[in-house]
Amino acid sequence: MTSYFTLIFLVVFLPLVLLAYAAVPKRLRGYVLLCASYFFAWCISGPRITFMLISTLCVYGIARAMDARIQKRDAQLAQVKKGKREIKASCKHQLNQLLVAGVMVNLGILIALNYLGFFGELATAALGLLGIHAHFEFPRIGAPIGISFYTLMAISYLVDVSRETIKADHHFGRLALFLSFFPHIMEGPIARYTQTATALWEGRDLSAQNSYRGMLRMAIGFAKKLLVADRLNLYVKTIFTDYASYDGGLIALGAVLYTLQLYCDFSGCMDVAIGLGQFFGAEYPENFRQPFFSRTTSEFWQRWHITLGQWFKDYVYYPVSLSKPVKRLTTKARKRFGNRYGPLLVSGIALFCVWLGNGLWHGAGSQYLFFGMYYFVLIWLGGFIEPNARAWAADHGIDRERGAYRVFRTVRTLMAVFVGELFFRAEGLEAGLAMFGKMLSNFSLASFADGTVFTLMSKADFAVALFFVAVVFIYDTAYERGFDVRKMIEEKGFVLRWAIWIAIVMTVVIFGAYGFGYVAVDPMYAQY
Amino acid sequence: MSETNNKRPSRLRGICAALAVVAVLLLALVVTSMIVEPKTNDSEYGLFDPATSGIRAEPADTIDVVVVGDSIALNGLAPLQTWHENGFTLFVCSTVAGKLPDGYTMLTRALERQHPKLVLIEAHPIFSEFTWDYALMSEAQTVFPVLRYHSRWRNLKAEDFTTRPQMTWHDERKGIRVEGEGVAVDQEALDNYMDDTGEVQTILPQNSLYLQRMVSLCESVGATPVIISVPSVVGWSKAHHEAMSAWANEHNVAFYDFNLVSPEEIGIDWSEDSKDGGEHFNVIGASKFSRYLAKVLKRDFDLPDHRGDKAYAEWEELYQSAD
Repeated sequence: MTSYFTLIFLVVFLPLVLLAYAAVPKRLRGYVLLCASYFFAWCISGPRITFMLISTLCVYGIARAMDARIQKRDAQLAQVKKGKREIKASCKHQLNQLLVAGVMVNLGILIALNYLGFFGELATAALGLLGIHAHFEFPRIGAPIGISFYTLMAISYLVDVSRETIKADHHFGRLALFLSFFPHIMEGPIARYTQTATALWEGRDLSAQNSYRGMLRMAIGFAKKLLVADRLNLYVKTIFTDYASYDGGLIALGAVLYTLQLYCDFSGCMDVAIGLGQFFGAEYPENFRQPFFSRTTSEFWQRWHITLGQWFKDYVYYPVSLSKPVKRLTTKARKRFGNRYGPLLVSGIALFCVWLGNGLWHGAGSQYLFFGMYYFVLIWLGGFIEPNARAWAADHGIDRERGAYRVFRTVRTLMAVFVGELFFRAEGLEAGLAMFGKMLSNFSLASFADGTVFTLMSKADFAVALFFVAVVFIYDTAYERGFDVRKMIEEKGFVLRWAIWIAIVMTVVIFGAYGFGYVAVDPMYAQY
Repeated sequence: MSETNNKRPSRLRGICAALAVVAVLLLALVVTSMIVEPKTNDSEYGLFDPATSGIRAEPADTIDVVVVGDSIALNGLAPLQTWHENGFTLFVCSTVAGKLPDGYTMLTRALERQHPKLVLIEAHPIFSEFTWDYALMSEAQTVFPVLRYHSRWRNLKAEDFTTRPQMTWHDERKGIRVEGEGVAVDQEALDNYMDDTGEVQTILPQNSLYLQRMVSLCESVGATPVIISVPSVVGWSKAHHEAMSAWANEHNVAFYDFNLVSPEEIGIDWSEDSKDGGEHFNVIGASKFSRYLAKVLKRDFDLPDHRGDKAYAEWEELYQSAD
């Protein structure tokens, strides 16, 4: 069992978990899910899941210590009339120390398992530039599945406990399940403690309504992945591994198709994860909100991988922006550059931290660093341009939210996204730059005219992929306009709603890109 | 009390509804399977690996020895020569890189119309790793061919909707696909061939399970299962032999490791009898090995001699035309 997209998961693992969940008393259901989650992680990562257990133990212990310190502070405050500020400050100081320790342990494990090799290469290269010949090489241990996801969830939990927005969980099982629940462990969503922990541990009864919601959501996820994403892989894989053999036109199409592949793969996995959560009464946060309708790159990242963006906003952007040195700098910048540009200039510091983290979170590689810096520059510069563009449009009587200008903004954003994804998927920064260079210098439509494009993927596969991309577009358009397609189906009568579900399943069975002639593609974000 | 009574019909309704949904889904899988399933046993209708299904067109109960395995078996035998020299019929049901679940499916199909005396299970795939998911998918594809042949939607013809599969294609090579010129085996590999390093290979639980299923299947139709290991310098070692011997002893199945027989005794010249430097035989190597194998089988098992029997005339004609 390597993912949700295996037969053994669907017809053995999931039914057994559901049966066990339904069979045991309510108070034991959380334990069933916890055992199932660790078993699922074990199947994928083997003994490396020990790191997940270590992180959980660490987070549990540190949060309990924070809780004890908070209670001590409250007791002290209740007994004194003077010196309350000192008591609070002392508590705050100790909470921060505990928080730093917890974050260091969790980030330390993540860095040790995922990034040491990369940092070793960077250090070797940096020293080489200084004329020092040293070689840093670290053993590769391998990380457990989902480490990048549960680490962020663990940090968010610790920060929230230290901020006293939530109370430390005294139940180890509930916290462990929150961090390891099998639907989210592969690719997220990056849920917050308040969103899922209690609901999962409650052991809510399975219901026909929730089961249908879950199954419909899962079927849609499978459709996105197997009808579109895995089919487009035929083209994308060839173009990105052998880009030197193809012209700029085919590479440009590769960038577009990769973006669609990633969207259908990742959002499809999210549909499956959210659907699985719905079985057990847990509502995971949405991770995508029709990102291709965005008008700016900033808006794109509010609609794409939403839970990651929200995490960076809450735990990096705001803390950096609201830190004392940055606030002081903002005040100075306001005086020097005015109220419009001063804060914008300084906001670059927090934004830089966010996009450095975002880039590195995606992987240890120069292309991911570039990817992060690419969006940092686009979004930061966008902040300077946006007020001027708005003023220019107002002066010329142009409605930026409708008509041709709206289309222009969306297309411009899409172009930026396609270029970003080209670098993201490229096999190294050098390859990304070479591909981008070919797109500009060697752009040609000849390969489309002479049929070379169909040597990369057959006409039939193009036709199926484009048809289902159109279906996804219509589906997203409906949501964008406030029409909830899934809800509409869920409210239909028994026969019709199940007929729709069976139709989706059979469409996946017949037109899915699996088996002979196709290569099974693991969920793409599971590698991060 | 009344609440409990209300819940019961509701739960019963729920179970009936769930069963109805499952039944409709299964029906849809069956119907689509019937449509997309290849309608002949050759590649005309998109059948994968037609070589594995040639046996299904053979007249019933005419095959004495069935061989299952992977490319080692595909390239390692000479059925028509075996016929000509010994008078028993041997058919190879193997596929390139075949795993045991594939072998089990092929054997099941082969034994639908044949009741051979012997089933030779070539040992290389026994060490070929596969996941439980692979096995499950293989079983599901057997029950619902739409899971294997779904991509045929793009080539469907009118008769796909109206006809049932017909086994019309006779494989004149009787399952083998031997080819290639001679490529000499690396001397170092030859020097280390079958050296005793003290190691023992592992037969994974899923592999062992499928091997047991194959053995049981043979026994259920009265065929004797025999494990053989075709000589292969690159793909076999003493560690494989030890593991295979232990398994065969434990399960009371005959095991012949021809890698232990000296090349001189079989007549193999590793400088020219392999097509790829020691992993697979070429035509000459397959011919030499088949001659030796047939001698062993005739010696140890009661195999018939059909030469002169008109029902088997086609075998001699094919041998003469192939010669």
